[in-house]
Amino acid sequence: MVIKNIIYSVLLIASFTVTGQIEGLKKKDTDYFIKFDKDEFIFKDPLFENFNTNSNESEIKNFEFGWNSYNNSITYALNNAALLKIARDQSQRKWFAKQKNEIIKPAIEKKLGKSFSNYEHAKNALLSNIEIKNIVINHVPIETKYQNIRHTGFSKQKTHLGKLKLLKIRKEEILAGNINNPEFGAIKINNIPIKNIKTIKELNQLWQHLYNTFCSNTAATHVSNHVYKMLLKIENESKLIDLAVTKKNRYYRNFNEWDQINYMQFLINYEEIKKYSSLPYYIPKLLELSNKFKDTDKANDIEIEKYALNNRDGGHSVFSDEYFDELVEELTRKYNNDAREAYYDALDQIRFLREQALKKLLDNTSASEFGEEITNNLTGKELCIYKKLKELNLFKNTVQKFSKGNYNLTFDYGTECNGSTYGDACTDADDLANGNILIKIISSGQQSLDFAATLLHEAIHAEMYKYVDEHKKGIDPNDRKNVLHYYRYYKAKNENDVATSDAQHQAMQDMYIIPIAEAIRALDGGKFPLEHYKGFAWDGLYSQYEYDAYLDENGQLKTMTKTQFYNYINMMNDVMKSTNFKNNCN
Amino acid sequence: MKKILIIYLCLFTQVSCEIEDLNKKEKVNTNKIINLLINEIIDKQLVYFAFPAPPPNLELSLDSLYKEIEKDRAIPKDTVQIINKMIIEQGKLLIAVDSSFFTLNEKHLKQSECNKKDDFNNTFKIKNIKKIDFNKIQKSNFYKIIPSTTGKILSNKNQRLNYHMHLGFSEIAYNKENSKAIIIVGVALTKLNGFTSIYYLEKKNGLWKIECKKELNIS
Repeated sequence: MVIKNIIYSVLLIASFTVTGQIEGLKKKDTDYFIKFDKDEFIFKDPLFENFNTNSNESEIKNFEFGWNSYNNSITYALNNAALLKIARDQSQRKWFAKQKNEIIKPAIEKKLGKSFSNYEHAKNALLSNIEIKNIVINHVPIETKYQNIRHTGFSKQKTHLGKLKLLKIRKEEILAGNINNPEFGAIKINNIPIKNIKTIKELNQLWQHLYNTFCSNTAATHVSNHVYKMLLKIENESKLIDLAVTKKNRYYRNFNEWDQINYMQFLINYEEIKKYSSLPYYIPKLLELSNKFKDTDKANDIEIEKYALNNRDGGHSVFSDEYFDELVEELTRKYNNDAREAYYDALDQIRFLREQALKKLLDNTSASEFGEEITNNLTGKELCIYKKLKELNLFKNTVQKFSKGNYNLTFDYGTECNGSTYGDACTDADDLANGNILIKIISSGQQSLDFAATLLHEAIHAEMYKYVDEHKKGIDPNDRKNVLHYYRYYKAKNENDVATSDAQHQAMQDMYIIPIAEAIRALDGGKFPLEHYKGFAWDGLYSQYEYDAYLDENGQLKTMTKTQFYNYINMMNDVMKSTNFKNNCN
Repeated sequence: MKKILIIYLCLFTQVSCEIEDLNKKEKVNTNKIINLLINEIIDKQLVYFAFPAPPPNLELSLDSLYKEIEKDRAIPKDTVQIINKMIIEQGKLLIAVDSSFFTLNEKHLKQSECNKKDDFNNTFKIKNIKKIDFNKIQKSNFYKIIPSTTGKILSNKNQRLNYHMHLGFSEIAYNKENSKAIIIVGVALTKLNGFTSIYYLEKKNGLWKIECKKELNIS
C-alpha cells in the first residue's frame, strides 16, 4: 500500500513537471516574433538586402504570393515575414512616439505647470523635480545626525577647554609655590582631584593626554560643523541636483523602451503610487510596480551625506592631522621638493599656530564654565524645552547644581531603560561611584508642558542622588530631613534600588509638587491658577492606590484621593489643550 | 523498502517526541518563573502600599526622626491582616502584564555584579518562547492579572488609569542544563514611577528560587 502511494506521488510530481515543461514551450511559441527580430540569420540573408527596414509606413508594401517556382515561393514567404516585422516595428515606433510626445510630455507639463520644447526636456524636468523633493525629505535625518554630532562635539570641546584652563591655572599655582591649596582642588580631571596634582611632571602628563583628546575632538567637530552647514543649504545645491538627475537618467536608459515609458508613467504618478503601495492602503499591483523601480531615488540619505562630506566648506581644523599634511605638502613645493626641510618647518609652524589658537580659545573660556559637567544630548523640541527650563529657579536648584563639582549629569535619548520600555524616562545611577548620573528620555510625550514636567521630575531624582551621595561623604553638611527620613524608612541604598525610588518619590510628593506646578505655570505664562498645574507634578507620582499621604505647601499632612487626583489630571488636560508653549519650540 | 520506511518513521517520531518533550519542559520552567516573579514583585508592592512611610515631623531633629522610625519598626505588625483589610477596603490590585516577552540582549546578561558569581558565569541561551501562557498564571486573592498586548499601556493617557501596575517580562535565558535562568522585569506604577530589575534564578529540588537581583534603573 505504502509503495503504491509512493508510486502515485512520483507519477503526480512527474505529471506536474511535464505539464510545466509543455506550458514553457507554449510560452516560447507566443514569443515567436520577439525572437524573430533577433535572428541574425534572417537579417544576413541576401534575400533581405532589398528591404529598407527603416522605411516609412507609407512605403510598406503588401503581402505578395507567387507560385512560379519553388525558389520564388520561398522568396515571397521570407519577404512577407520581413514586411510583417517592418510594419510591426513602425507601428510600435509610432505608438512610442505618440506616448512620449502626445501623452507623457503634456502630463509632465500639467504636473509641473510648465511647457517644454520636447519630450527629453520634459522628462529631465520631471526627474529633477522628483530628486529635489527627495533632497528636501531625505536630508532631514542626516541634518539631525550631524546636528547631534556637532552639538556633542562642541559640548566636549567646552569641557576639554575648561579642564585645560584648570590645568593651566594649576601649573601657575605650582610654579608660584602653591602646592597644597589649589583654588579648584576638588574638581577632578581624568578622575584625579586637582589637589592631588603637585608636580609639573604629573601635570604635563595629564595636559598631554587631555590636549590630544581635545585635538582629535576639535578636528572631528570642525568637519561635522561644516557638513552640518552644508546640509542646511543643501536644498539649493544645483550640483547635487544635477548629479542625482544624471544618475536617474542613467537608470532610465538601462531599461528597454517599453519599461522606459512604464517608468515615466510611474514617475508621473509617483506620490500616489508610493501612498497606495504601502499600509494602510496596500494595493499589491502597485507594490509590484514600486518594487520594479525600487532604485529610482537617487538623492537618498547615503548620497546626500556623501555629497555634503565631499563638498563642505571650511577645510580642516588647525588641530587636525590633515591640516599638518597639507602644510607639509605646501612647504615641500616651496622648498623644491626638499621633504625633510619642509617637514621640520611644518612642525615649527603647526606648533606656533596651535599654541596661538589654543591661547585664544582658553582666553575666551570663562571661569564660570570651570568643571561644567552637564552633557546634554537632547535636540530639536526637547532641547528647546530644556533651554526654556534653564531660566526657572527650580531648574537652577536641581540641574544647575551639576555645573560645578565632581558629578556628571547626562541627558540623552533612549529606546529602552535596560531592556524595558516602561515609563517616559528614567534616571540611571549605576555609575554614581564615579559621579556619573544619566537621564534617559524614552518618550517626550506631546513635546509640550508635559515633557517639561518629565525633565524636572528626572532632574529632581538626579539632584537627590547627588545630595545623598555628598551627604554620605560629609561634603554637604545640610540635613534635608525630608529626604533622609524617607531614605531611612525604606532602607534606601541610593543606588538603582526600588527602595531609593520609593524614598525619592515620597520626598518629591512632599517637597516638589508646588515647585513643579509653579515652574510649569511660569512656562505657560501663568494662564491659569496654580491648582491647574499640580496635575503635571502628580501625574508621574500618584499610583492610584489610596495610600498617598503627603505634606502640602503649608506642611499639613494630606492624603491624595483618587477623586482629587482625577480632578488634577482633568485640569492638566485643560491646560494642555489651551497652551501655546509648544508653538514656541517649532 | 518497507522496513526502511518503518525505521525512518520511528526515528522521526522519536526525534519529534524529544523536541516536544524539551519544549514542554521549557514552557513549564517559563511558567514557573513568571509565577514566582509576579508573586515576588506584587508581594513587595502590597507591603509598600500597606505600610506607607509617615511624612516626617519637620519640627524634630534628624536623629529624633530616625529614632521614631526604629521605634515603629520594633512594634510587631500582622502584615497579612493589614494587607487583607486594605484589599477589602480598596479592592484587588489590577495588574497589566504584557503578553509578549521583550527582547533580552546579550549585553543585558553581563550587566550586573550578579553574573560575576561563578554560578552565573556560564553560557546562557535565550529560549524561543515569545508569549506568556496566561492560563498557567496562578490566581490570587490580592490581585487580578490582565493580559496587555499594547506593550506601552502606561503611555496611553486613556487606558493608564485602569491599572495599578504594569509588568513586562523579557525573554528568559537558561543555562545548558536548564537549571539557572536570567530574566529582566520592567515594572511601572505611573509613567514616571517604576523600575527595571534583572533576576538570576536557580532551580533547586524542582523549585525555582531567586539567587540574585539587581535593579537597573528607576524612573
